[in-house]
Amino acid sequence: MKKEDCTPPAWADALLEWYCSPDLLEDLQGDLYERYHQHVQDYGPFRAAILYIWGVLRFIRPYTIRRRSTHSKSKANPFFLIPSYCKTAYRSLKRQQLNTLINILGLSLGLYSFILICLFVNDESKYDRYLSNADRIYRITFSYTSLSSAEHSAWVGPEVGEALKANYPEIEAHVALVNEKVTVKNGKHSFREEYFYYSTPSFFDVFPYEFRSDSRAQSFLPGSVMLTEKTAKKYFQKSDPTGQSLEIENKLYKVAGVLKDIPTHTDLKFDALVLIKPENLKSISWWTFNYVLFKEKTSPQHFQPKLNATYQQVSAPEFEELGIEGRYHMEALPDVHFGEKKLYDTPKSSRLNLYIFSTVALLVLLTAAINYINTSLGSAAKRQNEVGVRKSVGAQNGQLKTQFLFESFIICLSSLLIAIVLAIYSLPHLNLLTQKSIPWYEVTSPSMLTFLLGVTLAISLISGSYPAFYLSSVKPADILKGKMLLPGKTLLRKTLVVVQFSISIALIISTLLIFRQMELIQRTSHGYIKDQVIAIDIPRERTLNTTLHSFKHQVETYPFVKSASMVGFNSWPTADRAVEVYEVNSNQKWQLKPLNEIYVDQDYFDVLGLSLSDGRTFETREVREAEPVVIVNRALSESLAWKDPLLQVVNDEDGYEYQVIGVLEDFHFNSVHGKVEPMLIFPGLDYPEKLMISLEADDIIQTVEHIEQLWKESIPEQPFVFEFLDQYFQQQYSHENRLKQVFLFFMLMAISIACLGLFGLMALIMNQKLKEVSIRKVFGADKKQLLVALSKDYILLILIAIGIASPLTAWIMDRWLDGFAYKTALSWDVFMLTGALVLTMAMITMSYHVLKASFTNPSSILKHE
Amino acid sequence: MKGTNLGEFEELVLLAVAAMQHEAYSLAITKEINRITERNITFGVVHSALNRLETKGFVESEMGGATKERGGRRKRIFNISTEGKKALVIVRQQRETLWSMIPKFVFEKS
Repeated sequence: MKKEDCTPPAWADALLEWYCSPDLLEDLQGDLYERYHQHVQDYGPFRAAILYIWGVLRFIRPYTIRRRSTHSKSKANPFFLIPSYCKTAYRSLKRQQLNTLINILGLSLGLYSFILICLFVNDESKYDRYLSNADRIYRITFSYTSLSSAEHSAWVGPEVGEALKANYPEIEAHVALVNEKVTVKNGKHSFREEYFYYSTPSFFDVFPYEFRSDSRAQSFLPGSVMLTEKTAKKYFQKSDPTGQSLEIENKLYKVAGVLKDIPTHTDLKFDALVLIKPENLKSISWWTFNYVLFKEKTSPQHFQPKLNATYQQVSAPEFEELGIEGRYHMEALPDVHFGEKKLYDTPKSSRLNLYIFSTVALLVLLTAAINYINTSLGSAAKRQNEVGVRKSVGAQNGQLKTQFLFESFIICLSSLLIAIVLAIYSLPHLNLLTQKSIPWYEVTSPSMLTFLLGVTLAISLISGSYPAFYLSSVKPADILKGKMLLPGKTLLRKTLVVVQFSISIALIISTLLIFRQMELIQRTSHGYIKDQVIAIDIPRERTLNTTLHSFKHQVETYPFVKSASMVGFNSWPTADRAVEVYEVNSNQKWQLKPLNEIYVDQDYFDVLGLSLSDGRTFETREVREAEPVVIVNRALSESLAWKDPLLQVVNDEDGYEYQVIGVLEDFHFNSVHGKVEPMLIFPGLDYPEKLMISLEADDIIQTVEHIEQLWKESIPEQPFVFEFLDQYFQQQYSHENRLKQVFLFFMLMAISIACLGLFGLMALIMNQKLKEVSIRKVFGADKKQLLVALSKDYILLILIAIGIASPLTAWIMDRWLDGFAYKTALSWDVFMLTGALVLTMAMITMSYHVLKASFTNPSSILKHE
Repeated sequence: MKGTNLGEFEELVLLAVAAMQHEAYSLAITKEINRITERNITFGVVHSALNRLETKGFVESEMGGATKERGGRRKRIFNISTEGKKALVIVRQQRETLWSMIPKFVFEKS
């Protein structure tokens, strides 16, 4: 290397340039260079480099160090340019009205869906957390294996809580709760109540619900009832209910206190608490909800072994005799809402759904952000002149970046405002759809607003940063010479279009598949007639049994009634299952199995249109006398591999023998989500729960009114409460129906935003391509050729998007469909349909601009040259 | 007045600036002082002295020509200002007064 070509170490140079104040830098660096070259001559390059580095370090002195505040970069305060930014933003937004409109529209739709999801998620996360000791309350549940599957029941016997409290000091209190439908009377008024809970006085030790200040209960004695404010108003209007009495299931209870209405964020919604002695609980139900409260500073997470020990001690002997192997579990109260759905459980939410909704909302928001980036890139050609001029009169990179970011922040902020207004106005619909009662002021709560502002800031950074960094980095000389922007950005723009359309396509495919699946479920034969069947609530009073039978007879003779049937506990389709242990014979071996059972009368099969594959149905005498006969369903007969079912018998726990007299064709007692469960159908009606009536199709309203009239004549003291069976049925699929509607909503959002984006993009591109269009026209291209020439690039992009999104969505939806026993096929037509739909939408969007461009007179454009 | 007095080293640098006319940039000044005084003053000391002189208003600077070995960077050429000239004259007068006060025999004896 020649001595003249040596250069000092670059990093030392960089260090110097970094610390040295700009007005000293040039000559100082020059001097150091000059000295360096002298040193190279004198001592050689190595020593010269050392001396150079030493020199650079020695010059770090107070007077050489760059002081940011005292130099030209920002002599004024940083806010001084804000009015200018506002003015510039306003001008540029006004100049590109179409783009601004598209961006604001897209972002507000995106943010709007995002706000709705946030409200929903926020509301869901509040469940069962409002009690001060909520994190110390645990629910005991019970899992066991039955013939067909593993079961998990939310109910356990009340003795479990008692044993835990007695044996372990870390348990502060326990309570058992039973939810029963009851008839409540106050004088002449009587109502059927669904949310009256039987409980023991220890309830308030576990759940510290607050009383209304003027009617605090003095004591929690068995035989008293605590009402919520709402219920108190219902039964006693304005008078003070404390000390008065209420008749519940023909027993008098004294109202001891009025509770403040319980918050809506709980799954354990009660209207009243009926306090009874712990030992009497079992006369109402053997199975109860069990809650325990842990003492402070104990560790419930290490309690499971003790729970297992309690199972061995209290329950195992009894269950083992029945051939059940079970296990108790604990669930913290705040986790119950999102936990796995158990038998007899309170309503639940699904965490998976929350994830799905949040993902979809984010995707929609992303689509909107992409629109913004795309249109800014598209209009970069126009803006680059502005940037060039600004730079040459002294604007610095930082200021330009701030200017662009400010512009995008203004757009995002206006979108946020629109989105908030939209959200407040549409909140009632959301509440209706999700069965929630979110108040409007949740939208503007400080935490929500802070969060939304943060998100808005993030979006404006994401969507504004590319244009900001890209545009501010161009060299003014290049722009002013008229050089076009680098070609690299077209690739980015195309990638973004592909991402955007992939999202839309994925959402459309998912929506279509969800609709298909729903249709399949509703079309799949459940094996019974659900239309025009009503189910009337029957009070649980054995004294009424004869009256009820004569009432049933009266109903049956009414010409518009086809048939009527009285059914027992959980014996109508769509109800939760009732499980008991029976001894059955399978392959010459007797086994104890927990099996689903229902109690019905001889007309059940007529009302529901069920058919037998073998044997016969019950005779009236068999029902009246509760004779030891049983009908099984085909699923049971098949799972036990019975060759000749009519020769089989079933034994109950007490050793009674029931002769199988018929085999019923399978019907979906529960939802079609799962397979048909094995089931035993017994005759007998000691405890009827519902009267199911099948009606003639014409004039249902009049028929129901007539039945109500009959009811009032024969059982005037009991309220007439009924529901249509297909309503129950709809409730069972409300989850899927909700999912369907939410997806439809988001799909529409995503597609409209994507099409808006394409529309804006095409407008910009056509503007730039006007010259090309004109030249093509001069050379004789007609509209069809123009359309092909100008749109083929984008059609290709959409085809790529279809190619990416289809397999991905197919894979995800396949997972989702695995949750159904009967699932729709991922057939090709769904994908074809989606592709066609998206292409058509895109073609319509693009052809508008192409045609508009092709109508312009080429001479008016070309004469400027 | 305080802050505008001239230190011994500053005086040396200011004299060099005045003497070197259009060639007075920091590296050259360092070399010149080192040659005349036979001391080994570093470039950094001269640079900071020049910077002080400029703040005091004794020298003015302008950017001069660039050379290849400077990596294309310009020199900062220093010129003595009127203030600087005054300051030098004052210092010189003070010294001459002191010189004139020295009795002749002081030097004769040695």
